[in-house]
Amino acid sequence: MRKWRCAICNHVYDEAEGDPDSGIAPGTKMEDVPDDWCCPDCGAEKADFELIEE
Amino acid sequence: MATHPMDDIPVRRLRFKLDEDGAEESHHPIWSRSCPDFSMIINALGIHVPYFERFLVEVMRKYRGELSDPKLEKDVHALMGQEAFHAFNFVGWTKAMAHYYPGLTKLDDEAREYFEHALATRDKKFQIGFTAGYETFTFLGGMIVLDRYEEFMADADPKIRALWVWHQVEEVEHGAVAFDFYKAFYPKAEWYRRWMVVYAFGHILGQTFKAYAAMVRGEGYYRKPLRALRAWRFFLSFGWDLAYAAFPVLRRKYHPRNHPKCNEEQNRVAVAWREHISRGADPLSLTDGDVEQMLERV
Repeated sequence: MRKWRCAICNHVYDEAEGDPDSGIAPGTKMEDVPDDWCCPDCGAEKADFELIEE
Repeated sequence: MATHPMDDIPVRRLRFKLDEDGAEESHHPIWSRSCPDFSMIINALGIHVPYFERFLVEVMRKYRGELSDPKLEKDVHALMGQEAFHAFNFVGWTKAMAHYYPGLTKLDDEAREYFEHALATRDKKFQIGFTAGYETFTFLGGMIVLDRYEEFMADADPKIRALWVWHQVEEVEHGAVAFDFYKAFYPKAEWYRRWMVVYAFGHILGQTFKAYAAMVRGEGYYRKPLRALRAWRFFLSFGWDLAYAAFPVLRRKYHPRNHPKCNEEQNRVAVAWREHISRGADPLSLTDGDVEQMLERV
């Protein structure tokens, strides 16, 4: 499971946790997140998320 | 009846792309021909404000789960969105300006480090109080700039003018949220709130002074002492206007929604800009023709 950081507000999307408030189940990989999903904190687009290198 | 500018805060996901290659050649830091000294002071503010905005987003993210008022939760969410996009765009503008003023890179680093340190080491009350204190001045600054639009921006670079009009309009829109956030946690700590207003003013003035000095030097104004004197007189005058506008903030019954600068009459430029954007106009540029057209409608 990977983590992705929003380039606008630094919110972290953790694939293990998903984004249940937006209907994204835990375990959802970023590539499976719908393209119209937005950052829950600032509203940035999915494309604004960058992979956090471990 | 016109709605209050602080109702239903929208998040406008704008990207000015000022950190892209070539932007520094297209947009000179002295972007206002109407008032070059205004360009410098607002640019100087724009060095440290983005890092404060990121600090604010992190503080709100850290403590918003403790809120119980759904309206405030909604406003906090919108505030975080607006501030995150401001910071993203203004860090880009600083990068573009650093081509002209090499000293800015060091100030940019210092501003980032200051807020990262405050986030890592200061307690909850300071973080929330400082956020409210600092936001007092971004809100008041927004009102002052919009009220003096003609003097400051009538003849200006369309893109940088659009950047600042957007920023100032949104600073007014969310001008009460950090105050309400503080009140939700510390409803009775009025003296601490006032102290944070004074403390934040000192911080803003100090940081802006350093950046402004780098710009006055960068423009070569010290080779013409009268020009340098005029620039510093403008700095003092703007600083005084900001401080004077903050006096009502120190009252016990103060609330940003009731600040005389906000509630007596909505700013014409702000109203016109919102209308302009809602019609689908390009928010990334404000040519003289755009401004003329949008002001004609209100």
